Amino acid sequence: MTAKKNIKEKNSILDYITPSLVLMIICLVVTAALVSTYQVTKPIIAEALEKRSQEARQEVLPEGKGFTPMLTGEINPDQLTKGVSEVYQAENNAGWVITSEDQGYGGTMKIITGFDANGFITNIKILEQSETPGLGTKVGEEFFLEQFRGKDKLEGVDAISGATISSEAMKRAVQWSLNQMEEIRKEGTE
Amino acid sequence: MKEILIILMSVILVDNFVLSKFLGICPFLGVSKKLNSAVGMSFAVTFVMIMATAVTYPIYTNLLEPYKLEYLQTIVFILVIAALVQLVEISLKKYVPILHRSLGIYLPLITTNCAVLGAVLLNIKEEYTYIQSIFNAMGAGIGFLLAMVLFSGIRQRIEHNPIPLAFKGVPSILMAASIVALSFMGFGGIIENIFN
Amino acid sequence: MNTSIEQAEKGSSLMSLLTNGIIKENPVLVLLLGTCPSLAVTTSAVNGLGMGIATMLVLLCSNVFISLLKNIIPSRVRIPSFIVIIAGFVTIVGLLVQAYAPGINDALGIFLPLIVVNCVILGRAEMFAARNPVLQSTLDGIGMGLGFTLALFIIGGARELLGNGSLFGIVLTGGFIEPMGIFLMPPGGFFIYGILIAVVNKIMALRNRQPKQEMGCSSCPSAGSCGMSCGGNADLEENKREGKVE
Repeated sequence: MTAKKNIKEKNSILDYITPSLVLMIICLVVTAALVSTYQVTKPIIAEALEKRSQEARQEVLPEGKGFTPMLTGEINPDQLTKGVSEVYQAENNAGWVITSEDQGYGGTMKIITGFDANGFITNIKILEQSETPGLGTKVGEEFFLEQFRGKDKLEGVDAISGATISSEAMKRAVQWSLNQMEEIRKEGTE
Repeated sequence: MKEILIILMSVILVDNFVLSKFLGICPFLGVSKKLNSAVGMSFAVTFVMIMATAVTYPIYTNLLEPYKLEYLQTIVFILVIAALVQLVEISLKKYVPILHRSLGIYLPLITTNCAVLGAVLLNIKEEYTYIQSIFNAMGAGIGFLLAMVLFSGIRQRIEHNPIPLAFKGVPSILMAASIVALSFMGFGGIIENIFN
Repeated sequence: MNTSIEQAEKGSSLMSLLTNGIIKENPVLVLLLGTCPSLAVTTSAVNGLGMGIATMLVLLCSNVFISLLKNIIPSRVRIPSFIVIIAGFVTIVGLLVQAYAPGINDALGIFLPLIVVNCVILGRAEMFAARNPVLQSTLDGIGMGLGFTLALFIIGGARELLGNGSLFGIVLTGGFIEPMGIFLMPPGGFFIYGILIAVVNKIMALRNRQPKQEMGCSSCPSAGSCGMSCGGNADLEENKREGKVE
């Protein structure tokens, strides 16, 4: 009688251990697969990311060559002014590119602005936005963006009718980068 | 404080989880027929969301992020959520049977649902602090409740109306959802105007 | 109605397994599963396609592996094991998309990791892969995946055409007809999906098939076992509870 009971007990312990063991093994195998995949794809992802950032910088400052980080989250972050997350400068002294953002209608609007050596806007590119398609997204179109080019102050920029909030968000984001530009020029002349 | 109010208002009205972000559609369209189940489900979802946030956020900030293991967040979060809910269901059954009777049946149905995992992933993506994440989760649940209750009322009206055969059942529900989503779009832009 | 399980048991031609998922039991249009991504990422044909292909990859891999391991995994830890395997593949596919198609990665956002809770995948794992040999599971995975992709492509294409006047970014009607932006937004998503289901229902009625009456899993054949992932059969539970005295 006791022998039978012992076997039954043994079975029930195994009943608990085996499933958990199998699950653990599966977890370990899957985790190992993930870690190896990550190791393989990490450099490729980083490269793709850097390529896109580089293309954006080139687009807003076509004359620039050799963009190097000047102010970022890691390099002199205390010199970053409000609303600005990154400043890159062109090694050939063509100017700077500044990444800034503000809240739009549907979410954060992130832009990158190119400045020439004298602090005038060369071009603007929208990196991220969640504005209303067909309305707020018009802030990314030529007719709106060209109002900013060649200026070093925010004036004479008309909002798009029906997309006031998106337009104001863009203007604020550009203002932040203008402020940063001023700070840089002040530092330069000191 | 203002930050938290903004987050709450955004996630309940403007960026409603169901009607704007499309998270939690399955329970939304499947459970909203009766008001009781709609409310019960919403409370269960809110409960799980807040709990899941409370547990997954520290795991991410203290374990995954420092060791550069962010890519493991999907698998870690889903396992944590599934295990957590199992645990809660068992403890509820044992210690608070009343709650178990009203919420309990919905718990297993939402463990692996887009709403909960979505809420947890969004907390990380939006880079909220711990407190902000909790309020985000709470707001998401409240928004879910709001959408469910409104929709439940509408569905009960639809039930008793003649509908063309092809549209009977699911398509009519989707059309109604479309109009409710439209109405919620009207909330867009109020955040800036109230708080700025 | 010939379900895929019955067909598999009958030893029906392998071809029909494939086409089953595309037309007869299309996960999005007939089984009404995977509604979240179908609505959220279909703002353009490309996004719909991208999501569909990513999901199909995960579905295929998870079906194959679960079918391979079905005899080793004890019943008690069935669902957690499936989740781990599926989550693993979702992460791998996610990393691959990030590396080789970053544009799609941005467009899909959090819905890429959310593939792990897609009812279609866990449902097929539970209903099919766990009970059928590898070859059939592979075909089922491909079939369902293709069906999913097709549905997402149709919804995405319709929304892009009506909402942006373009297809794959190429301006088609946008030149002369003002596009209706609303279709790119949530209400438009629900609307198009509703119309599509109505069309499918009409077609099914013409072929004397009963359309699915409820959203989610309550009328899904695997409702009992799949209950964890859809959250749609709480009504079922509610009825059970009211019928029985606890």
